[in-house]
Amino acid sequence: MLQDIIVGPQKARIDRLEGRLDDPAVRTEEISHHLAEALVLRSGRDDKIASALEPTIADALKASVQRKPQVLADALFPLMGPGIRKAISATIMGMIQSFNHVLNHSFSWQGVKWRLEALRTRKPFAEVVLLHSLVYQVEQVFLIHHANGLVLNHVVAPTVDTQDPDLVSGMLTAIQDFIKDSFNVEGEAGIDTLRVGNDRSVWVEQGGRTTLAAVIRGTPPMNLRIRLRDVLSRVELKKNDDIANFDGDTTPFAALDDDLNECLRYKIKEEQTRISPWLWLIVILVVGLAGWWGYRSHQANQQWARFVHDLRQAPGIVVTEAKRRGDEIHLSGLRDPLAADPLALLAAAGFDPGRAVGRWESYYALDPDFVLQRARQALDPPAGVDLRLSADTLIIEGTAPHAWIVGARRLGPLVPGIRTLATEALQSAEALELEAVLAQIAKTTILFISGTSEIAPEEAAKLEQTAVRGRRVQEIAAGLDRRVRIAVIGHTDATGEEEFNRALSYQRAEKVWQALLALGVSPRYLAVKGLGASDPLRPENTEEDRERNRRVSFNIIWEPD
Amino acid sequence: MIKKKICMLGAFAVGKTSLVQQYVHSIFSEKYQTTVGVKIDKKTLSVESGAIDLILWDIHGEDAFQSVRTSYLRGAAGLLIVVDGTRRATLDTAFDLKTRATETVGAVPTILVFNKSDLAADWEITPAELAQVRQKGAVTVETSAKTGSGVEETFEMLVRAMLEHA
Repeated sequence: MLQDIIVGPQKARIDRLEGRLDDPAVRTEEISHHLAEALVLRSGRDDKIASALEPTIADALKASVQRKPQVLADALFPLMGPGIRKAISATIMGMIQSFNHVLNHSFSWQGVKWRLEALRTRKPFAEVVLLHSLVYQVEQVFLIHHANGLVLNHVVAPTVDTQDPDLVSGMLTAIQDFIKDSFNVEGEAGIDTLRVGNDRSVWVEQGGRTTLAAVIRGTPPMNLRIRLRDVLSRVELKKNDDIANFDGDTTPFAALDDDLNECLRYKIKEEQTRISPWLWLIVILVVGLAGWWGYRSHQANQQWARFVHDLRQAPGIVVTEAKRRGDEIHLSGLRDPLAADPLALLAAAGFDPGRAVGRWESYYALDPDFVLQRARQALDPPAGVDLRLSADTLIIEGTAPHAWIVGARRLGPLVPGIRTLATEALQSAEALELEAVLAQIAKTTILFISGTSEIAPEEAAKLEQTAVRGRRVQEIAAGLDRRVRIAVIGHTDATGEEEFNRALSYQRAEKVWQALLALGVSPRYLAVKGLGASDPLRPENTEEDRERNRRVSFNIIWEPD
Repeated sequence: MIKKKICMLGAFAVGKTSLVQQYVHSIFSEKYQTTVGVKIDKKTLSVESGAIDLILWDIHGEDAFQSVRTSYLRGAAGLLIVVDGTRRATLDTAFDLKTRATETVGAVPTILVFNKSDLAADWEITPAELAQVRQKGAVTVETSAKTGSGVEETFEMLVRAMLEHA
């Protein structure tokens, strides 16, 4: 009891403390309150936290890159993008600058001298040009450890010949020591500048534990000194511990390349930086060539576009492919046999038909021109016949032999593109002739001797001619399949008895009918009729009138087909 | 890359320069020694951990007219002190140099190089004396500039000692 009263409260506290220490959840919670402060405190003291975290962070980065490279790429892009652009533009500027220099001096008297120098010294011409054009150039930079004269890092400008930096650095240190000893110089003060010949100097910048030595050709500006000093302070700050603990291992100082490279500066003489007329010439040439090429290419494209347009517009041609691939011209499609030859069009447009590949399928185009042309080829119309097209109707006009008309009626609708024929204005040549011959026959009269059925002797020729015409009618009508008869009609004058006259008129008609039969006219085409004096040709006032009425006339009788 | 500065010391005309000249990379002529008092060479050796560059400061021989500039010794990680076996006085100079060098650079690995082993018959330093030197704890090696014997071994011994020392 007494014990509980005396040590009770402490025991409770101890139990509570033990509980806090043993419970990992509570400990984690407590540490989380102070973790950030603890990290800051320790980082200020030494770099053990950095060393401890380094492998973990490296692994974490590696894992992140492997799993989601995009995240890191996005985070780094703002840094790397401008850096890469700057590096590329610097490289290109450098190339143009040195190219410009070489060009500037390639064709001048000085250029010839320098070329000889390049031959003599076996240096590249560009390097000799650069050497003569420089106001100054920092050729090498040494970062030297004070204590032992060893080189921590060393950078060299491109195309500069160097000796072993370790030996040079050692000798430089020795010479500094020698001079300091010789003139009893105290403390850190030492050599600032070493001058070698007219155009070579070594600028030395002393830091706390290191020395920065820059080997310079030409006359550098004083602000270079400031830059050297800045770089040296930055480098010493960055690698403070490594410099202090340096025991010969130069590996940590390899990371200082970028800092030291900042010191490798150079300046080229102003008047040399003007742009060489040769460079201008080359630029003009290049631009001109590019322009000419562009113009030619544009022209060729225009020419091609025009050709393709024309080809598509050409009647009877359906283009399915028209392309240029490299040297080949691909042309394919459908073509009416009557259409223009695509290869001929290609040649006319200024392209080489030999480069054309592809195939053309034949088809019938329904262009009116082609339909009409095909109709002409199929029907071969004779002179005097005109063919026209109205939609899908072929209009045939004019006069043609019957046989051709028959053929045209049969073949016309078979021509592709023609559905019907219109032949209202088409006349048969034979039908016209038939009508003409019949009209001539109808105008003819054969006269007789008074009171007899004797044909007047002077009428023989007329009778002969009428027989010829009758035979022609026979021929044509048979060919046309028309039925026609020539009525032979006998007449008398008014003198004499009506009864007698009627008989006489019939005899006269029969006389002519027989004569025509004898002259080869078929009875199928003839008819006989006697009209007496009932149909006189003229009133009988004179003997001549009576003479004219004593006759046989002809009339045409069309029979239904 | 590991780099170490080592200094080569010795009395005047003990044959330091000719001892190493065939084994090192050199761009400077001997006249530097008579003017600046040092000539710097380089020797690259392969060791288990990789290559190691020895920057060898060949310091002008000590004589009545010219004493070694201790500033040249600063930062040396190892010392080679060369003795001419045919001239006893050079051993005394060597001890003297060792003492002065140690004051500047501390107790760095040091090898006493007894040169002119090809002229054994003319040696003023007896084998007994040599043994005595060793007994005092000095590391010694015998070399010949003429035959080249012992030179490579000297560098190797020094490198090993320096790496152990570090």
